[in-house]
Amino acid sequence: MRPDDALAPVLAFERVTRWYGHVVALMDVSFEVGREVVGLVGQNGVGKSTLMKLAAGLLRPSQGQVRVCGRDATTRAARSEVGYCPDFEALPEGCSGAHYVTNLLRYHGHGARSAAERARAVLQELGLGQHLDRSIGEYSKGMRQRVRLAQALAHEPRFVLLDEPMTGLDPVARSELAVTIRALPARGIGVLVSSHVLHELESVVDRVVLVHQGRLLASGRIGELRRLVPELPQRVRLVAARQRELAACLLQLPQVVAVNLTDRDQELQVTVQQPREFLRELTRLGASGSFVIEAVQMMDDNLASVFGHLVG
Amino acid sequence: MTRGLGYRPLDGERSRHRFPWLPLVRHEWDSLLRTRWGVAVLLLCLLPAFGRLVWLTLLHGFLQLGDAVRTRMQSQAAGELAWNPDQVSFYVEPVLSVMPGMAFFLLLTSVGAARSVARDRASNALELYWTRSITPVGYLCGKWLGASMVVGAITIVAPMLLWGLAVLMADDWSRLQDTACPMLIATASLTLFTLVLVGAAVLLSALPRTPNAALVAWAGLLVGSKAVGVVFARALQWPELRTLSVWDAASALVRAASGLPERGTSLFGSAMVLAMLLLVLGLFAARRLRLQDALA
Amino acid sequence: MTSAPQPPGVLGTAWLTAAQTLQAVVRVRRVVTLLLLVLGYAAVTFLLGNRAKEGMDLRVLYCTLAWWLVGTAILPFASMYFGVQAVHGDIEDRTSCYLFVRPIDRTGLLLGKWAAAAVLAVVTTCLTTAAPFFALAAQPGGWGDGVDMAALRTFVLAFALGAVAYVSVAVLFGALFRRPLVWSALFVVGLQMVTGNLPVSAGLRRLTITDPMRRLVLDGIEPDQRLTQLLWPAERRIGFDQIGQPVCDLLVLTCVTLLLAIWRYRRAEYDSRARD
Repeated sequence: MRPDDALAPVLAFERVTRWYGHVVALMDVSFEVGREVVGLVGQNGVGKSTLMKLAAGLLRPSQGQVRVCGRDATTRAARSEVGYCPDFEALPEGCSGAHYVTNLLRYHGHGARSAAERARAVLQELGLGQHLDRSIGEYSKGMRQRVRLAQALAHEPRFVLLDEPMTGLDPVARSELAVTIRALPARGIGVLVSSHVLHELESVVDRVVLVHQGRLLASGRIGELRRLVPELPQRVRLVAARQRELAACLLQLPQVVAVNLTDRDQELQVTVQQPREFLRELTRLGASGSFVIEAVQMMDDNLASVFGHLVG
Repeated sequence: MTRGLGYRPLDGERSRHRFPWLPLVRHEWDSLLRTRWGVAVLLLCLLPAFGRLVWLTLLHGFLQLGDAVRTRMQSQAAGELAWNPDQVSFYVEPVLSVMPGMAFFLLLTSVGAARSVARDRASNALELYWTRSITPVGYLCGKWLGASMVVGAITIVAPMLLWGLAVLMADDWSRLQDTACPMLIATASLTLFTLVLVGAAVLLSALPRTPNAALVAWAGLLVGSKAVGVVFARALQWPELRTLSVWDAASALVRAASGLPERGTSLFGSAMVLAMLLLVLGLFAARRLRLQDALA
Repeated sequence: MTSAPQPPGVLGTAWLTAAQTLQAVVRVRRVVTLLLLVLGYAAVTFLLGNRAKEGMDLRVLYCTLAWWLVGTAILPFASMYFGVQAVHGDIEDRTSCYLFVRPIDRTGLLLGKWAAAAVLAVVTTCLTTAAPFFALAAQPGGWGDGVDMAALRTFVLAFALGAVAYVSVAVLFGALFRRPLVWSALFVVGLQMVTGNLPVSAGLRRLTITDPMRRLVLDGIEPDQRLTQLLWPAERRIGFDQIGQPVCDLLVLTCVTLLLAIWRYRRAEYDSRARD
């Protein structure tokens, strides 16, 4: 990878609009993905899958351009750089996982032997080593998901599209997959991943792209997005001794909207309007020695709350 | 039967609905008419009936194409039973003939009946049905009646409507008096014809794994058995062997009941062929509709 | 340093696809089943010939069997099924998207699928055409003028060309329609039967496969009036001077439908939602 390559986006949507007849699926969407993990978030039916298919070159944009590594996404050159893991379960039933991935690798120019070796290596890496030669028809849902991932990664693409990759995986497999996805940018691979499991997506992605009703609603790091919506009240969890007195003191602050005493000992939940100002006041309070504050946790500084607020 | 799979019988109350499969009938009927393609196929299959209607209007002078045309048509109607509105053949023959009857029957069944159970199997809908209070027999009944209603539009309703219009167009009530009774019998036999053939299509669709394979199996059965019947009848110079054809066997029953000219087919043989076909298909379908197979 | 592998061109893709499609379809169990069915078919034909030879020339019986069973039922439905499944099967079960995201030209994909389906259709057709012939040839006494190898050659050639043409039409339907098998049934039973009622000179007959096949068989076996009546009772009379160029007609139909299928398959954005 050349140094300038590292900066170049592997996926670029340039004012992309897509219609299905009279229905607008995507409207004037622009964003870029570099060698990083970007999460695609949105409710059902807002155009996430259309966006994924446009990036994979399976659909053509009605307006605008989709570029993969600088080339039109529908060209052969662009497709050789893309790995696509769809959100549906379909796989041919009659052959083994290793055989199927080998077959698909042949289309990338691998010889029979090197394709077979590469397919086996990738499937082993994804934890299917014990079941390489079993028929796909006998695979569990999680095993099928790994085969779909394997076919997307086997040809060493520069950009991977993962549509709901966590679906069907058990918790252990999910965390393993999260580790695998996180490791991809280090190998020079950009990733666009969509998921409804927001807390899991949060642990994997560098940035998120929020889509709503076919439009790009927001894009950036989760913290940045959170700061973009300062008017949103935020909950802060505090652990401190003399919680009732602390609550009374906090209610004097102009940023505090509400204070709830929880069932737990020494814990209270504060709803604040301007979190930065509040934290400054809280630091001042702690430094004055009046209260011993043992823990501070921003409860709404996460993707789910940002998503919930923006989508309404 | 479910214990082997680790299922436990639930202590619950079964639906009090006497025929819980009745919504399936409606669903099967709607499945054709909910798309414009389905409606187009139905209209296409009604073309022979429309053709006969045009013939009637020309024959009775409601549409005028000149005296010469009308005279020619009247002489053809007098010479051929199948073109004479005073004969039951006029209404029934378009349904029983190979072209257009069998062709349009095959088209209409291939859109619905011949794929019905296989389609549910492929989309895992069988699994859902078996968790309701629908039994496999009830399920098949629903599919069978629904598909029969669809096919009945061209095999029962169209001839009946055509006959009704022909009676109204006639100069007097003599056509009604002459054809009412035979037409009633013909309609009853056409209903049986429809139920038997659609039943075979639905049962056959329970056997293959995919809707496409089911459709090919049905087309193969209909056209293949016709070919076998023709070959055997000619090779062994034994015309009754034509009843090896499922279509000819079912047609023979209608012809016999309606008093239409028979074509060297055996009534007993026809009944036996159809009974055996339904029995064999029913036995295989019962095996394929067990819970184990539905879940597989 | 090893250079990165280069994706195959159109022909390479076609070869790979054909090989993989055949590999997926041809299984020991299926081949054994097919061979058993063909053997059963041959055995029934043998018995039929044994019963029929007193009253019928076995050449006539063979021609009747070949035309009615293979030409009318097995050939069209098997070929159409293979063609439709090859192209539309993976669109229907949505696995086509794994192929469409590869760096290959869809022309190669379609040609490969077409070739695989054509091979399967031709093999099935040839087996079912040859089996009854050899079963009847085992009773040479029943053949009036001796065992007629020319009849076998004629039927095999006509049906092989017909199988390839049917597969091409099926491939076109598979690339074009959501319900290609219904259209196939309409083509086989509807269009071909309708055109059977048209005059021999009608141009519409060239859009069918059964009509050129019939001319090819007519030219090859030169049937007498009785055999003609047995083979094509519903058809209008056709003279030997009206045979024309059936091979050319079939090849033109094959090429045109295949080109249309390629055009459509390259351009279409096949929806990856489930189809019933």
